[in-house]
Amino acid sequence: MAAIEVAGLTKQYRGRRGPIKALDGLDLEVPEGGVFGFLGANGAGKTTTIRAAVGHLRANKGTIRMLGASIPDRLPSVIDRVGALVEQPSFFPGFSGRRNLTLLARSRRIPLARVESALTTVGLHDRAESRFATYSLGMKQRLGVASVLLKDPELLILDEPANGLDPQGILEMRNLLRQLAGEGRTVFVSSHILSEIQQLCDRVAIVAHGRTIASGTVSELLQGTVSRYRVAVPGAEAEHGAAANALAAAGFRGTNDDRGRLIVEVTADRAQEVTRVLAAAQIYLSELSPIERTLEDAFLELTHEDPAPS
Amino acid sequence: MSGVGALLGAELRRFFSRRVVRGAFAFGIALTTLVMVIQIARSAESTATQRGTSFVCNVPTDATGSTAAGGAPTDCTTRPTVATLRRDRRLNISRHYSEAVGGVGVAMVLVAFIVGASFVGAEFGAGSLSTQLIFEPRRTRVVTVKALAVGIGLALTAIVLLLYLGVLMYAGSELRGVVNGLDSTWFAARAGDLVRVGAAVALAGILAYAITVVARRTVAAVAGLLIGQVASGIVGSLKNWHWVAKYNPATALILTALNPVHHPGDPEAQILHLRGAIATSCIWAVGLTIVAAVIFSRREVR
Repeated sequence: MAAIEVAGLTKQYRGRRGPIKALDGLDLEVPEGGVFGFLGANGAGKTTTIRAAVGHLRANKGTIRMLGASIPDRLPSVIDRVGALVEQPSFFPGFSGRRNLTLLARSRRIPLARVESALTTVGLHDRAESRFATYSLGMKQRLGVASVLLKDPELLILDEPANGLDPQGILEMRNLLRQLAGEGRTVFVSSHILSEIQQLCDRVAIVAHGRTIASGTVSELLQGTVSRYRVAVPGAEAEHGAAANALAAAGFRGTNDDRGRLIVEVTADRAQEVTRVLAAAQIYLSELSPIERTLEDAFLELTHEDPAPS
Repeated sequence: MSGVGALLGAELRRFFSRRVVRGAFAFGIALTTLVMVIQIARSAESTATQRGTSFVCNVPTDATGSTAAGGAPTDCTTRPTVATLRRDRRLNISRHYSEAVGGVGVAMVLVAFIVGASFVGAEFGAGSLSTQLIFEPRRTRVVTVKALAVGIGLALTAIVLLLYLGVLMYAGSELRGVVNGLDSTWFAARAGDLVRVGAAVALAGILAYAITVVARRTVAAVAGLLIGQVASGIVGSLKNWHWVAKYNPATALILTALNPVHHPGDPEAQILHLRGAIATSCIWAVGLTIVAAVIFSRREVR
């Protein structure tokens, strides 16, 4: 059984200039266990999908099943097994972090000891008595994650959990989420920070314009059809230009990186042709090295945008 | 139902943790203390001499002693007069407490509007409802339990303040006033007063809360109530539309808090009876809460 199954989800908002399609038949399957990344640009439909999954809005069409329960009708039957952080963490600004968590815990008869352990886990124990309004963005985010941990959930849904965290906080968050996944839980993370997702997730889905455009393991997504190679040619600008022209004539697409080196896009099985073409043009290269593909490359490629040379 | 109990407990804790509630309670205690200290200091029985003049004339009379027909008064003179007036400004709990409860009750109803509206208005402002719905997604339950928490919280706060007023008044009456007639009938009647004011305050809070669930803003709810009151007054002044003014929520609540005025035999004035006023208040509070729950359960939450 999948932790989350979404089929044909459609959501349309009424805008001043006509309807706005936030989701356009989105499909998604999040398997149980591990960390699942939900990638997309701003406005792609990530948060709308999450909000529909936790019952904050009703979709116009499509179905959602979470831990086997149909959403939103059967949401109450599984809500105690799901922890979610949607958009900005929202708590009562006049109450302390501890008081906010205590009220939530009491509303579901959650042992208060779990409030303390959640505060400790997210590193907020020392500031637990401060008012929420005085927290920095990163501290608010930590309190949001602590609220997710309160229910000791099987499924964690986190919308941009690294938002506002400093580098140390991001590292701690990554370790925490990996640890939670290691305990057999399913962690569903939405983000637009691609490097973060690449380091954290086992599987990812990429969403654009309200649809899932790719889904699979991170390594599957990184195996794109096109690889890129860095070509180093000794000599001055004239030699670089000649090399670029020779490769272009042979049908290779090339660009220059920020250090003036030639970057050639070529499938792995045609890599040796690059050396042959250059040699035929009396140009002898000093380096032909593959550029490691990142999730950012895959993402930009899938969303039809040019990847920035690295 | 244990889930409802836990949710209600958490909501009541939140109600009593709110600064506006604690502030209003502290202000109520301070104001009651100040007013009672002044009342106790002024509590005394005194006499005053009032000097004046009287105009005296002789009136001609006939043999039977009656005023003679056509006889004009003669020998009119002005004489000084001295009158001794007895002033009783002593605190008398048996007489004054009921009046005080009615007056304070109306003020409490007005404060309850603001506290009830801000209870959920603050949640819309902070966006904390979205977090709460991840713990309890049954929205109708959430709206209903919050309404109950507002009602119970406000009623308890009002009754505690009125009891404090009663204790101070009793102490003042013992020290510098009159304590008599405090029998079981008096206690039963005063208990009825407290319950009546508690109910009016609770219903006022629930009503304002329900309007805010729909309007999403505290200010909009309070303004809506005030505008509604003025509009119902205007509409109610039209021929055949008197019932609009009589059955509007603010009138019903204030009449619930005040001692009822009896108008037996006048069907249009049924609201002026205590039972009619409470029933009208309840219908408004429950009706608006149901409307709020229906709207909230269909609305997108941010």
